[in-house]
Amino acid sequence: MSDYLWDKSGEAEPDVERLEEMLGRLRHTGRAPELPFEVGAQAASIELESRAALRAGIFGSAFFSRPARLAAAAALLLAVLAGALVMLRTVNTDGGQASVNKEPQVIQPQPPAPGEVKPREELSAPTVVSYPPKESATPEKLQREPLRRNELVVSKPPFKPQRRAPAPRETVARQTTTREVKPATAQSGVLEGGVPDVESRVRAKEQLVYALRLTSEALKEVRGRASGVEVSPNAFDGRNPLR
Amino acid sequence: MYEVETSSLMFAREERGAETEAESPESALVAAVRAGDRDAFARLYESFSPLVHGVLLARVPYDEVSDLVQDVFLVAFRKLGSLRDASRFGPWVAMIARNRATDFHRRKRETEELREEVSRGAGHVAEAREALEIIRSLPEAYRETLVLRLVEGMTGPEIAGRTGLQPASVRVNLHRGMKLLRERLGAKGRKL
Repeated sequence: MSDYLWDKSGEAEPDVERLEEMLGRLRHTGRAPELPFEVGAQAASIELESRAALRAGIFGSAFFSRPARLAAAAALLLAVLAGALVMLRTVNTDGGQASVNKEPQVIQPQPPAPGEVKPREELSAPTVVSYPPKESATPEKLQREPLRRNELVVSKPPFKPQRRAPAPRETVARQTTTREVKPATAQSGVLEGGVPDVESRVRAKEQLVYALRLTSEALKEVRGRASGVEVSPNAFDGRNPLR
Repeated sequence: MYEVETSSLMFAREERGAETEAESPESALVAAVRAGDRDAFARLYESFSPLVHGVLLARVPYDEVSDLVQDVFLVAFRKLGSLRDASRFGPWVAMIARNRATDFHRRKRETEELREEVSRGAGHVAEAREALEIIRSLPEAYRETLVLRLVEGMTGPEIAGRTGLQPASVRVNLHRGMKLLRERLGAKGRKL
């Protein structure tokens, strides 16, 4: 193997020589770029700056300028003031110990007066339907523990029909042996498994329509008073169909 | 498919020991430039501009290379404080040149080919640029070594010393690249 290609020693290879001669015309002949003064000063001061920063710490270096120092001092002052405020507030209020020792207030919901239209929350509240209690249960015990295993809760939305897979026969037979299944009655308003019957649905629907009509009438009256235009009454007489 | 000597891209840091750091000429030049000596910067440029020129010529169009060489040295001058081992100025500035070439292609991908076509003239220079185009079509490991050898006139040991590559890798790349170049030139009907 010839060494000419490697270090130009030995016998010259003609094709390499020819390529050297041809490509040598593209050789670099430029001069060094003129360095701007600030660039030179910057490069010369790099090492000095880094050493000075290490000596003086980060607060004394050029990397931490005067506005940054002022901002840091302001933030520190604000933090101290906030801490002092919190301390004062804690001392004045006894650290919240009075609030801890205070007896909790229990707000009992007031039952609606007879004939009064139920507010919206009560209309949509879950309806609790109870089976007849056992003989051992006393009224005080029932009041203290209102929800037990023998109660069914019809949750919101109350009238949405749910598709239920038919229960296997064995399960039904076991239920009939362990617990007495009550038939649907107008008083309870539910079928077996908590599904409301048709009459209850109709009554609830009429109640809802009545509430909507009342609201619509009230809105119409308010709008008429606000605009000064007399609103003609419609066919709604305000009668509650459920009474 | 040609086998590329990828190991040549690895720097031979261990073999070049600490003894080169203290007394190498580039270390003294770098220290002088850091101290603000502008003549030292000119000498540093004179020593390493062929390396930077070759690295760039293997990657970017010929018309752009001169400006990019200046850019690379200005960047190197600004970042000279980040060079820890002054004896490795050559590999360091070659890496800056490679990054600058990549950056050039990222920005001017559209206009590069047009400018290359327009500026192609006639005569000896055109012939040389045609050969350079063939070299630039070779794998990267071969093209940089061949440009430094054939265009910049550096020997194999000089290429290894400046770029920080292993001498064995440079040797392999030179011979494999030259073989490939002969094949490509022969395929194009050019007689050397």
